[in-house]
Amino acid sequence: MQTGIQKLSNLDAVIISQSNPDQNFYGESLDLTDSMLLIKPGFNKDEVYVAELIINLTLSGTYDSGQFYIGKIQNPWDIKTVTYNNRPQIEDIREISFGGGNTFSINATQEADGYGIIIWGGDITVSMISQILTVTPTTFILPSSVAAYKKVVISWRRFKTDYYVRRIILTRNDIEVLNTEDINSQYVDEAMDYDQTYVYKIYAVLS
Amino acid sequence: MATYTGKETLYEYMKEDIPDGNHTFVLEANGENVSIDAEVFNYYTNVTYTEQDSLGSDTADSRMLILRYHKNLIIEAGAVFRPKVRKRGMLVWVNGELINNGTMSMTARGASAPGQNVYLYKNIDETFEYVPAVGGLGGAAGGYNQNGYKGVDGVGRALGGGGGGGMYGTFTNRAARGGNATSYSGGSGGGGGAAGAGGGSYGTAGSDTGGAGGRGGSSGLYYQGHGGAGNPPGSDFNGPTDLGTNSGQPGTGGLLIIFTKKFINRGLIESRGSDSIGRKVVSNYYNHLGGGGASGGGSINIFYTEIIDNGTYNVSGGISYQSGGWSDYYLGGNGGNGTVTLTEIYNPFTIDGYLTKTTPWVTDSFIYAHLSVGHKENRQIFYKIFVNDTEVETSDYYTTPVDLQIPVNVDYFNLGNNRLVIRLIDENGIPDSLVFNITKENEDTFSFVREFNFKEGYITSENIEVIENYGIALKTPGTEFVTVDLPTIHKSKIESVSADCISDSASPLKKVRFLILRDNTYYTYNNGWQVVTRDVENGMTREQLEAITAEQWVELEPSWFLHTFAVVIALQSEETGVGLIKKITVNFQEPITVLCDVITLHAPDKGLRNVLINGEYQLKIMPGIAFDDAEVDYDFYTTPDKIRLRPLNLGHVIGGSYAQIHAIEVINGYDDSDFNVVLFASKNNVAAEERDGYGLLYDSMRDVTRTRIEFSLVPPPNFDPVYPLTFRLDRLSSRIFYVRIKPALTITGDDTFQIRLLGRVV
Repeated sequence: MQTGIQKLSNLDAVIISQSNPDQNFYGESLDLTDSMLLIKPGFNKDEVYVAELIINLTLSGTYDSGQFYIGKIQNPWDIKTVTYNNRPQIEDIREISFGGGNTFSINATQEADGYGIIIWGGDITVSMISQILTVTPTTFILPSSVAAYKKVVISWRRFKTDYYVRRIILTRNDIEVLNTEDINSQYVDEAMDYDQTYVYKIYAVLS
Repeated sequence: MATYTGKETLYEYMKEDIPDGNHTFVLEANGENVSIDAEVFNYYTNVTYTEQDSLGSDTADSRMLILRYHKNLIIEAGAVFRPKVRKRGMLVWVNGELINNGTMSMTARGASAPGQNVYLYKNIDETFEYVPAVGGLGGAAGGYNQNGYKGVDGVGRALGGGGGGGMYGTFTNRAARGGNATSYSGGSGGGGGAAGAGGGSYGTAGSDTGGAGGRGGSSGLYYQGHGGAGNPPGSDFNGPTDLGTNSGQPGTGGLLIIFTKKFINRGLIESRGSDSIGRKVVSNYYNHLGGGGASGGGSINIFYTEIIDNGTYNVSGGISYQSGGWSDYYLGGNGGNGTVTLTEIYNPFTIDGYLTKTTPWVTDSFIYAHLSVGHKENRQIFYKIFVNDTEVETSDYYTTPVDLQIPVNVDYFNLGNNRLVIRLIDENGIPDSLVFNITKENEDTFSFVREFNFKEGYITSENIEVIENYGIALKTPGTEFVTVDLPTIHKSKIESVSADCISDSASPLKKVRFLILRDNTYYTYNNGWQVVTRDVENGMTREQLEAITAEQWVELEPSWFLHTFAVVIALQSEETGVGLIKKITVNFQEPITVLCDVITLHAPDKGLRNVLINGEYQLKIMPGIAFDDAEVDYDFYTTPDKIRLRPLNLGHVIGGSYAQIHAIEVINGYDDSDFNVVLFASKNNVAAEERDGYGLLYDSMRDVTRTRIEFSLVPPPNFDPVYPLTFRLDRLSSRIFYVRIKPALTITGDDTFQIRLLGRVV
């Protein structure tokens, strides 16, 4: 049994600059103090669920620690024509910390469902980008309410995979409670006990 | 090396595809399993033979020699078609014409080996044609001044026995009998004897397993006993002195088996025994002589469907004679004659047709055999269907010729491999059978093997024939295409594709190429998938096809199950009747089990629930109205879902005096309903009597002694008694009220009453 499906993918990235707002710096690298790094991860967000996305930046030298910003790109954009002035819309901006050194590893899982990732805000120059991507065919939909001896609906999102989903298996505290070919089914748990914790795992048998 | 099992006769094995090499064929016939060790040589083109004694390996006695000519065999005049050394028989299988203008021989090639029942062929009446393990018996030795006896002639398909030794003189135990024949050798000759006194040497019998001829026996002085023919021949003896092999000749008659479609014999086919030639050794001083026996003749077995026979046959045993004309010489016996049997492979049926598919899917209903059946005498026929040796259907009679469409219910087959036999039987009971290997597939079948043994429905060109064990061939020179659908149902990713096909040949031109058909578009892989037109020149070679990796297959289409896919085989050949491709195999990736996601849920304690708010769970009370401790959150007296957890303990109270005031919180856990609430008291399900500002329980006869209940929304010290208590309780809100009682005077001990809430949605 394996956890997630590891995939290699070909991300791409480009720099845009506030100082040169109409210029596309594809293939070049600039200090991110007044520039922004736009990353296009090498997967189609509509075809997979991202379990984890780690962006690894290799820097042009050794830099001191600092604070940066990361955001989720909201609309489609073209890596060869994007500039500061026509940059895509960004949302869910958050601050991230750089601990110093010549590499910068960023957990961008929460940005993975957008059209790309944007990073800016500090005195570093990126020389290389790579990603570690773990995708999964489905994820749970968290039940809206959890209570003992009540109907707790355990369900999952539609499968997004280029494999054929032969069947799904659901376990509750590592005991199988559902094994079905109906991938759109759901499980209603009415037997939770008071003040107890339950771990649900969903497996897909793919071919 | 391989061991082949499951068939009864050598003829059945010969119809299989057997590679070169040393193999074992197990003949499972007549209730016994006979293992035939053999060396196999295949010849795939026409062979013209001009040599002598050049066949097979140099290893004697241990194996049968099997020569398989897939086209025609011609033996030229002057050629001697014979093994280099002794063999446990020579089997010649010719798929076309066997033309013998020279000599086919097993003379003196009988093997020194134990005999076996060698099952050659099964007749239509289910009897077997076979060469028995033991053939003609050896001839007896001569008595007083007597020639040895001839070996017994073979009967049926048996080989001849060895001749017995001749005897000069009165001490007759000096000569010995001939050896018995086996299936692989005529009998060896027995030793001759000559004696006028005791002492010296004693002759021995010829081997019963095709081995040595018997040695001679002699009392000495003027007496000389000669050895018999065999493998090797026995020595001549004078007294105790071994004079070496001089008289007995090497060899015995051997076993020859021929299966051919057309047999044209203009030459000689032989398997003779070896002679015993009396030669007086050393000088004429030895005047009293007993000759050794000759060896037995062999067995010739020819099976054919068509024959033109102007040739000759010779399976005679060896002859015993002397070279000198000596008067006191008693000859050994001649070898027994072997046998010659020519057998027509009789089949009145002519059958042409195809099976719709040999790989039904589990949900298919039927596969169909489309057969055009003719009969030499136009007799009526019917058929029986056997699946895995169990009869499942019998038809009515049909008048021949007839075109049959025979449905076979797929339910008869097990998942995986099955054996389907359609047995055609004429009105005289003569059968012919078609045997198919059927593979029933389902979604758990991850390796698809398409063997081209029978013409199936997807092979539509009339210019294509399918030759069992040799694959797809063209009937006339040209180019043809065969489309093999890939069953992608419930499967997604191809691991690999391989093919068993010929290598390219420039002259005559032969070529096999492959294209991939996705929906209606043809592709090949050449540094990436390319769209191409259906042309043999655009196709991939076998090597290119097999080099495509699983990742590259996925590049063509990650979701195979959404499309139809096929491998298109392009066949080009200037040669007809030659199998170009036997098999194509598609391996799909097997299922993987993937852990997709994990969640941890906590079911809180009674009356509570975790509610998902902005992606995180927050602890909330259940929908409903609860009585809760006024100071400790969620320390319910009664939960919102009406579970009574504990009573409000009023402690020790004194009848007729007000007890302590207690605070109780009422919580509305509904997130969508507001209420007007009425609180009242009851005991034993009887509501308290409403009075002005208080209620009285029915727990005493007199009003002054009944328990008095008072509620207030105002805390002490400004407790403002009302009864019943009414107030508004909005959604997800709470309200604290206070209760005070003045217990009845007439009760002692524990007692209970209830505070009831009546809510009306606003």
